[in-house]
Parts: sequence; structure tokens; C-alpha cells
Amino acid sequence: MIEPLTLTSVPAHAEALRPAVREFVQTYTGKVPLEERARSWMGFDADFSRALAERGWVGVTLPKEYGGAGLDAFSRFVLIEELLGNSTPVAAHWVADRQSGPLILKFGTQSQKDFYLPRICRADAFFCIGMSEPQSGSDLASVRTRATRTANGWKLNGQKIWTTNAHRSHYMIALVRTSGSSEDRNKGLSQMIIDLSAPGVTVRQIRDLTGDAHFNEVFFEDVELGEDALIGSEGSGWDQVTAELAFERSGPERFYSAIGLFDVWLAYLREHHSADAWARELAGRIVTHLAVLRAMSVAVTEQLARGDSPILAAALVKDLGTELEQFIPFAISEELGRHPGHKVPDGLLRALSYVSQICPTYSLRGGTREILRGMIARGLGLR
Amino acid sequence: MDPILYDSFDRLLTDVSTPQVIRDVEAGKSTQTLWQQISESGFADAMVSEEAGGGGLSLSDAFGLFFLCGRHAVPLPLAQTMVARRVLAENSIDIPDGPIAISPLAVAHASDPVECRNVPFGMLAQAVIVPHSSASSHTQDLLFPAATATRNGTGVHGSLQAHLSWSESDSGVVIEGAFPWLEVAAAITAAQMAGAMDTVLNTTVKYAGERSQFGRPIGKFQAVQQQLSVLAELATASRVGAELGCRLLADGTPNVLAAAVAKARASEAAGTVVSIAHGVHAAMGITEEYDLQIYTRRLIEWRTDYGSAGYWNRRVGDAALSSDVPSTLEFMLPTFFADIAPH
Repeated sequence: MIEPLTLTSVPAHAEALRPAVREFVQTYTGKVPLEERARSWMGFDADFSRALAERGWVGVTLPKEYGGAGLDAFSRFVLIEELLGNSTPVAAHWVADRQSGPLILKFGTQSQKDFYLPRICRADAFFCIGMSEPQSGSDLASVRTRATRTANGWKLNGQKIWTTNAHRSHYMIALVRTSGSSEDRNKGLSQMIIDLSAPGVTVRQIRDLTGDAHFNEVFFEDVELGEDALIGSEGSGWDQVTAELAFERSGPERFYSAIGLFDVWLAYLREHHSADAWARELAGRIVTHLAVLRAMSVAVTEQLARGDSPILAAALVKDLGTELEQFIPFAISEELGRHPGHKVPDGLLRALSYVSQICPTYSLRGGTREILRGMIARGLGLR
Repeated sequence: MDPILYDSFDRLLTDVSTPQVIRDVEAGKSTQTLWQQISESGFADAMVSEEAGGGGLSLSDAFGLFFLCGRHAVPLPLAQTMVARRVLAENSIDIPDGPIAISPLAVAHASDPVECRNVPFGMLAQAVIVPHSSASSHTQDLLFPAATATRNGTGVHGSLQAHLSWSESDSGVVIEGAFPWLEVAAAITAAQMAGAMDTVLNTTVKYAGERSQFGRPIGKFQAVQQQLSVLAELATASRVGAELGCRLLADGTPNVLAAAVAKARASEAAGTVVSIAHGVHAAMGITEEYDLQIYTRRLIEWRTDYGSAGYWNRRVGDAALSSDVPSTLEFMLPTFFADIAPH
């Protein structure tokens, strides 16, 4: 059975970070157009990431000796809650901050830590994650991209796909096969750090239905990697990837992705005094769900801060959270459509359309809904 | 809450609030033995101050007890009695014997009589708290003895609800101190719903592991697994929401908008929880003999008691829309997550 989540408060030392972050981001948010705000953590702005880094707010959980702030999981929760709750474009440093930095800190060699972590904290090194391949989606253990031993390192061949922001990142941390074949499943997999400017790496953008291009195909053709490309132990890639998942699935980004759109809609209702009883109930429903999800996420953060790896609880938060994120654009379009002839600002419509079109990805990224529910079923003892 | 207290209450209810006892009470048998067993344990006074001889638990501390009342479907307004006794003691009102029900907002048809419709556990209460409302003829919260009431069941099979009325409002004892009865009743009902969902989840997962079709347990089929995962998600969300709803503001008073969140979330989840549980059990689940129905009937009844999801969502929506902060985050944090007094 799944251990119950116990309500927890964000501790005072973490709350202490909030006012300064809020003041900084709200100055910034005012300048961001509505439809940009709707992009939430898909919004990419390297200058914004560097401005955050100047204030010490990138890589906050990394130790001070590497340029981090040495703060805990709760402090990062507060920081990203303010960033997402105020719809700032955090995509440039997002992956490095959330996953790559902590991964390198945990599994990296001293020289890897010395090299990458200060660059991450300065927002000088942006990372992407190389997981999916043309034949490997949810079935991640079947990856075929292969690194083979050479005299002084590794030679990489293969292809990754659906790699978010590879075209704007400096490095990829990829899950690749270092021994055996895809029949060996999760044995023989390792994680490699790849410099995306290396010869033999080709990045090709994939345009999406909203007109954006954040996905990429990344091709590796005899890419020469040094010994130090391997992160962690050879053959432990699967375990290392799995350990990241609790961090990846329980955070505020799993229920605040559409909050920018929600805020824009509430402002519209307030401004035009057009909230009828139905709209008020609908707005309330979204807020009640957000409040419960936030309470759940804080409870999971408490487990992370303790050093636990609450993978099941995180899966639960993500599945419920993405369901709400997908409900928000549906609900808003229903509400706006109940008043034919009302003059809805184009900015709101563009934000709504963007989220409506992109929101199917919310329950794909970080593990599909079906995979998560399968994990929860395993936690219930059913498989 | 204190795990020792939680475990001892869990053991007590496992012993005294058995499915057979629940069936007997629903069939009209006396609750005297059950009440005596609970009363002797001291848990009915869990929230009365220690100076007054109680356990001194706050609403927030007692969340686990409310949850367990629902998990064991205690056929008495025990959670309500815990809250009522605390408030009555604080107002220096003599605590009446026996279980105390809390009426939803009272309505009055004539100038003086007090009529309370659909009082949860109204059939079993020996006293009833009747909060005032804009629709009531009285302007203060009142405590009435059930003995002087005209009491009618609703006729709903197995229901412990009743309609109660008193011919004159001055036969009630005035509770001077203001207390958000409806909101707190909603929050503790949400906690009991989360408890009932926990039992429904455990029962259903167990059944899915035992019942075989096509040569294997039905719990091995992905379609069933996905449904049970949703059930687990909703039970967890309802529980966390209910715990949030029992929290206090810094001044020690109940957080009424957090209570709204609790009841809205649990009431919305209840329908899906019931539907999945019965779907997995198929026909067996709707038999009187099988225990699932004890909990699902309560979830169906409780989801509208003290206001449905729509009622409470509307309360939250009104508050969110009338605030002038620029972001939902800035509305939510002080409204639901402001630091609380520890006790």
C-alpha cells in the first residue's frame, strides 16, 4: 500500500526566500506578453536565466563551493513556486537546475563537479535530457544509442528524439547502451554527458502544432567522447535515471503549468464583472484542486528533504496535477464560449489556444499517464 | 497526530464499530452499548481542554480521529460530538449526555419554530447544535435536546439522517461564542469521507487480488489496475484536502476557506471513488451481505451533507474573484497555507 501523505508546512527558513524572489519576478512578469506567460516553464529566455543566476537563484540546492546556495528541497520549492506562479520563462536553466546539477553532484567525479556545477549556477551551461529514441518512448529500457569503448574514451552512435530545447542547450545527459543489446533491457545502460557542439552531433528542430519548435531530433555519428563523459558508474544508468524521477514528478511544475492562463482569465472576469454563478463555481473548483495539489506536493517535498525517494507519491501528484492542468484550458474555453458575442481580448485567446493545443504533452513528459498509473498499481501490490 | 493515540483509537473502533454493529444500528437497534464503549474510552472528550478533563486536542490535532471515524463508519456522530463538546465547554455550557449532532443551516417556516432538515446522524443524537443562518428565525447558535424534538427519519434505506423540529426556539440553550459550525462540520465530514475512501480502496484492492476471471486475478488486468490507481489518487487527495480543512488560522480559529477546499475536494472525488469500487466488484459489491456498501452508501450521503462540491467551490470562487491580488498564488498562500498555531 501507498504510505499516506502527511500535511506539512513549508519551514520558515524556506519561506524567508519568497519575498525577494516575488519582488524580482513580478517586476519581470509585467513585461511578458500574455501568450508568453502561458508558456510557463516552456518559455525560454537565457537573459532571464542569467539574471536569476546573478541573484544566486539557479542551482540553489548545490553546495556553495560550486556556486550554489546550499539550500534544501523546501527552498527550491518556494523559489520555483514563485517562478511558475508568476509565469516566468525558466526553460533555459530548468533541466540543469532540476535534474542535471543534482545528478552530477550525486554521481559525478570531482573534476566533473568542478567543471559543470559552477557553469550551471552561472546559467552558462544549459542542459537537455536525452531519453526517448524513435523506437523507445515509454519503453525506455529498449534504447539503442550506443557508446563503445575506445582507447581514450567512448564513441557514440545513434539517435535521440523529442529532446526538449536541445537546439538551445550546451550539453545533453543521455541514457545510452554501453554493453549488451536492447534485449538486455535495463542492464548495460549508462548516462553520458555530451557536449552538443562536438563533431558528429546534429540537432534538427521539430516544429509543433502551436508553431513553436522546442522538440528536437539529435543524431550522433561517431561522436568521440572522453573518459569523463561517463556520469556515475558504467551499467548503472537505469538506477540513476530512476532515482531522478521523484524529483521530476512531484514539483509545482506538475500542477502550475496552466496557472498563467488561469490568472489571465480571472483578471478578464474581474475587469469585465462578467463572472456569473457558473464561472465563480468553476474558478473555485480550479482553486480547490490547486490548493490540495500544493499541499500534496509540499508533503512529497518533505520526504525528498528527508532524503527519501517517494516515487509513488510523486507519480500520484503528477497524474492528478496534469489532469488539472489539462482541465483548465477546457474549462476556460467552455466559459468563454457560453457568452457568444462577448469581446474576448486576442491575448487571452492566444494564451488559451496555446495551452489547449500543447496541454496533451503535460501528461506525456516525465512519464505518461498510463505508465504512472501502472506504477501506482504496483505500489498497491497489484503487479 | 500522536501515533499512539491514533493507533489506540483505530483498535478501539476495530473492536466496537464492526460491520455487524453498523448493520444492527441501521436496522434500528440501540446504540447504547456502542456509545458506552466509546464514552468510557474518553475519546468523545478528546477535544475538550485538559483543564476541563479532556484530551485538549485542537481541530487540527484531531484530524486523524475524524478520519478513523469514517474509516470504521462509526454509526454515531462521534466526530461531531468531539467538536461540539469542545465548543460547549468553552462556552461554559453543561455538556449533555450522549452523542451530539450538528444541524446544517436551520430554516424556519413560521416565526418561531425551528426546523432542521437532513441532520446527519439525527436519528441517533441526544442533542443537536442548531446554527443560525440568514434563513432562520433565531439569530444565535442554539443547543437543543433531541428529547423535545419531533423527529422523523428520511425513509432512505439504512440512513441515520433525520428531520428534527422544535416548536419554540427559546427551548434551546444559546451558545454565545461565534463558531463556524457549517464549515467545521463540512471539514470533519470530509475527513470521514477520506476515511471511508481508505476502506473502500483497501477492500477493492483486496477483492481485485482474489477474484479471478479468464484464469487470473482481475487485478492483473491493466484496465482494472488503471482504475484502482485513480481510486488511490482520489483517496489520497481527499485525505490531504481534509487534513488541510481541519487546520487553524494563527488566531486558533478554524480556517473556513480551507474547510471549503476539503469538502469540495472530497465530495467531488466521492462519485468516482464509489463508481470505480462498485465497477471492480461488479454485482457482489451491491449486495447487502458484502461490506463495501456500508462505506459507499455513506460516501453518497456525505457528499451532499453540509454542502456539495458545487456549494463549496462557489465559496472559494467568490473569495478568489473578489481578491485583487495579481496571481492565484498570492491568493492561495495566505488563504490556505498561512502559518498555523501549533495547538
